[in-house]
Amino acid sequence: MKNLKKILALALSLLMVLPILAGCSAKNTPRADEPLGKDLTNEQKFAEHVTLTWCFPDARGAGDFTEWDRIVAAINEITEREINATINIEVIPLGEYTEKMSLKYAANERWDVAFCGTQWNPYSNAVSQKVLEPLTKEYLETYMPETMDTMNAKYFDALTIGGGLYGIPLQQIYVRQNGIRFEVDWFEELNVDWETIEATIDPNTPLESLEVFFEYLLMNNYNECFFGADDKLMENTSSFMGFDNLISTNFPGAIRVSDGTCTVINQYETEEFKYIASLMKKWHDAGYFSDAALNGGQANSYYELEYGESRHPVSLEPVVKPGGDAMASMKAQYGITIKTIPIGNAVLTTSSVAQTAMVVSRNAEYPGRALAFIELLNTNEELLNLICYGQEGVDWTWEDEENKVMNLDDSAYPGNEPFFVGNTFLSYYVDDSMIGCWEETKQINENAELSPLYGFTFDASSVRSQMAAINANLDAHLEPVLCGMGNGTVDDAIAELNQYLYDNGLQVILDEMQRQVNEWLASKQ
Amino acid sequence: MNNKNLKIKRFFKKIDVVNLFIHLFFIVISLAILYPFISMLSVSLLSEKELLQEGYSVWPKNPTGEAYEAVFKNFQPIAKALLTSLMVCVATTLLTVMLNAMYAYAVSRPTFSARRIINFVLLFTMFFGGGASASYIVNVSWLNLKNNLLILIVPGTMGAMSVIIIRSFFQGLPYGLVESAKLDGASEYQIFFQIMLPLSTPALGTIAISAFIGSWNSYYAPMMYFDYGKATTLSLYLQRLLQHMEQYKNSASLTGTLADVPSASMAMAVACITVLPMVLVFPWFQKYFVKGMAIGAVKA
Amino acid sequence: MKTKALQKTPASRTNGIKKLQRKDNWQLFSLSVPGLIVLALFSYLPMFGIVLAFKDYVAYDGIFGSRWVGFDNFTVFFTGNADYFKTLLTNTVGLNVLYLAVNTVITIIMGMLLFELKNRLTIRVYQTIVFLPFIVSWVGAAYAMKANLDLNYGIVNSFLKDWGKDAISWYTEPQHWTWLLMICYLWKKVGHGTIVYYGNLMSVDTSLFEAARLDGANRFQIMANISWPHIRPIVISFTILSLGGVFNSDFGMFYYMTDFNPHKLRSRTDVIDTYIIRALQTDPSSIGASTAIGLMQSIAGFIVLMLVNKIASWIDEKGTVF
Repeated sequence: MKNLKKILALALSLLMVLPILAGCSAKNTPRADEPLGKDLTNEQKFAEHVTLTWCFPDARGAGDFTEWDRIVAAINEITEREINATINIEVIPLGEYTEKMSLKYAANERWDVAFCGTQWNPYSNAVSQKVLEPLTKEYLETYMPETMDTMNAKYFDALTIGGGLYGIPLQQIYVRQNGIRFEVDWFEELNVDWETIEATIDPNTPLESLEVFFEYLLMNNYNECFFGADDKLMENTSSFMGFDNLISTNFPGAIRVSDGTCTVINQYETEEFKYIASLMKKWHDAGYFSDAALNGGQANSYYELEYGESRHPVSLEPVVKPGGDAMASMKAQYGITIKTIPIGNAVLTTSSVAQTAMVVSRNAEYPGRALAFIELLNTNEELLNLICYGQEGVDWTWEDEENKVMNLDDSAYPGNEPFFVGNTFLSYYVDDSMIGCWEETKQINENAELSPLYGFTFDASSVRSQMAAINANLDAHLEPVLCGMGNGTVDDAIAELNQYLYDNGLQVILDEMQRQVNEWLASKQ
Repeated sequence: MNNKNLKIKRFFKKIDVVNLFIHLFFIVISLAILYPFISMLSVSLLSEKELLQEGYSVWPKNPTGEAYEAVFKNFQPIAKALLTSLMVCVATTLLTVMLNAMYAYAVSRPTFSARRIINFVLLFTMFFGGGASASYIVNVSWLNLKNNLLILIVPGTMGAMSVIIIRSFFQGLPYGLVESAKLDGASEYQIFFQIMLPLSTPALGTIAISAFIGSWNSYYAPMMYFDYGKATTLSLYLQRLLQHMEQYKNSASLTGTLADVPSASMAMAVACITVLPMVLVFPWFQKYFVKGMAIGAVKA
Repeated sequence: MKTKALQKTPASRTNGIKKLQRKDNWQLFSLSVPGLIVLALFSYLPMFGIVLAFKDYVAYDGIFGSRWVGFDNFTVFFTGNADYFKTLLTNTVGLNVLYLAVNTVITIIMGMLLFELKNRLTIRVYQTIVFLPFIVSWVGAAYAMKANLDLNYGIVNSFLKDWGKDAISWYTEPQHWTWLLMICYLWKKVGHGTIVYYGNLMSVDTSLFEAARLDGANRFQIMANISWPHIRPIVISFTILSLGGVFNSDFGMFYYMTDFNPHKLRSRTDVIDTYIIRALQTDPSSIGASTAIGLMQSIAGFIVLMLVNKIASWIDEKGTVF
């Protein structure tokens, strides 16, 4: 028995240590020898038949569709014809996407193509985990010739980290320009038409011009809250204030887009922020919105009774996009019409372009073919709309074929959002009010100003503790200020916020940010 | 006349005052415990309109079964998920009871010389573990258990608390039972299977019901280890349904047919559906731990 | 004379006894083997994951290939405000101890009282009802809570308004939550404890009860002298085990029942586990930090467990966990 005890202890200790002794599991699926060369023909490139695994972010439940197999077959018909590849679509519900992908990374599971978004499997994280295939010029020119020709090279800069490109940005609205959103039905009932509204907004002080409307609504005793105040204020005004944030719109650490020297600042100490915060306090005290804003948005009882959803005549919009008003109005489903007025400048920042990307696994056996598949999603109209909306004639019909407007009234196929799948500019229009919006969007993207930090991504690995310490209670100190309900005056509240930030190590973070920015600027020379 | 008095006196003696008190105590507690369930049920029957107009109430004025309709819209996948859940739960329960009981028996015998270390081995795992990532790597890369139902059944079986419950029960049984069996020359196996196990049904029943419920409610392991479309358990299916509902409401989908059901009612309908089978299954386990076995009688 | 004979057992006899004991030992060991295999495969094999607390994890390098960063992952707590850290500790440990104490007392009483009842049907009904909350997840229970405590729509506030009092904004006033969460905790856990103690009482030799009654003992004397000492070991064991988790919390309860731990309630309801979740929410490769904190909680809890176990061994040897 004494021996038994010893044996047992030894066995268990060994078991704990065994994995270390056994070393890493085999990481390498053999990399196939793929033909490379800009002028290769399709026959040469796609000679071999290949199966690719696509980690499909299922946002709307397409995987549950009773006829999903039909859609998959149709998809494969196109891919086999175009690139001689069968796609194994691994459906992953959107809510589980980040988790499942990180488990795949940990266990080194086999996958080829996946999606990266800000909230789902973030791109910068995947890069730092070193699970993505670096995309070289050779591969891109061979397997994605059309994309390389048609897409402006500057968009790839946003996804360049540490000198390497690891993903293809999906095309959609890149500029995150803030705006003021109006629910025009409210105003029409008061005989104020859209032209009047537009004329009243002074482009130099757009937010203050809103007070006219609030007073008007107040005068008419119309309802309890006029302004959709909530804790997302920073997201809705950062671009208007002229900041390019290094981590997120809420987290301190940004530069002014107008500042060519790229001095890293704490946006909560700026005059711009004080201006917005004072405005919020003024509006709160004047009664344009109530205390409930602090508890996750507020009720608008009159409106709720009629329409079953709480909405506000005036609110702020984080991203203004052509066609966006149409989409938002239809989402509301209660006959609410929405119009937006952009405020501030249209700027391209790294994070705005890097919001959605398609990536290839480092363990892919045929990375070139995977890129070819991504190219299909970026350039093949038929494929994209098949995945997002279904087959023409079976799942939907044309409402206006010439202008590419679909009629989805009888559609049973849940489909997917185009920006999870491929090039949104190729997707057909859902309503005729959207006609032409893709062209407009492309123009906005092209003409936008570039932030001086465009192409820079901050590596937060050395300041994790400080970030965690700040994140833990940031909302407690920030939200009251954003909703105009801080302690004491606006100055006091902002001082309290900054006290909290600096107590928890903000200076260390800002210094590190500046150091990395300077290094990056120097390397660009 | 005398008889009547005697009868009355005997009647009053029969009413045990303390018993009455105990009953009262439990009735009050039961009502307090049941109240949240009534809330849950009433919220599941609430419509969005009433929620906004009247707010929550103890019972909705116009109860509607919309939430339940929405959940059961596709009956086939629910039936499949239910079957899978049942299989997994039953298998887990049986395995848990057996493994923990055997382990507990070994640990409960003071003459077992390896007792302390065996006990420690179990206790240690309750505090220190490798984490979800390491477990995933072991289970998927080394043990090849992805998409395999075993992964839902085996890993969680051993528990320090379960072993303690059973061990305490064994130690509470009169030692004379074991002694007389040993004198008759019984092996430890015989003592365990033929004497200890049958007498310990209360403790085993407790472990069984906990294991069953734990397995029934778990959705994280099924989500991690199974590809979409392969086996689903009921709780995972319902979780995903809820997430879909949220996404339907938030997406720019124009076919938002279920946008009228408030997410609170959906979540409550799901919760009620999850609880109901347990309520039905519970009485079956109960027969093991309602008083009935007279240990003294067995000894004789 | 007889005693002398008993003092010296012949060698053959001791050898025989030893042989029997060894056989018994192996039989007992073999009974524990299946459990050991499960533990080995699913608890000990993945144990290497603990090293993540000391590493900067990069998926491609794996758990072994990632570089060591010493104690960098442990500094999350010590970077921030020390006062807040004190609040966290007080909440975590204090609430755990408070809830544990109250729960223990209540479940002992309930278990013993239930044991006094005779009618099988009522026993089954009470057991079922009391155990029901165990089945519901905190997410589900949180909705029921919200239905009652919501500021504008909640049932409690509408009753208050009917009686002419002001509505209470439950989700922004922290002082209520110490006892509110205690009610939630008891609601969920009381059933399990009651059934365990009730079940444990069933292993009592009923002849003891009969003998006591014949001697004229009343109900309460029996409870104090027979029932209570009988379940004392398991009560102690449970207490020890629970105290081992004194630095951990039931995350679901603190996070969901408070409606996602809004900042106004944090002075009373923020515990280590909820703090860590918030601190690491935007850090995608937070596995190092969360493993590190978890490790600290485990070690601290284990030390507590060992201490309490030692104290318990002085009170009742049978109650010790190890």
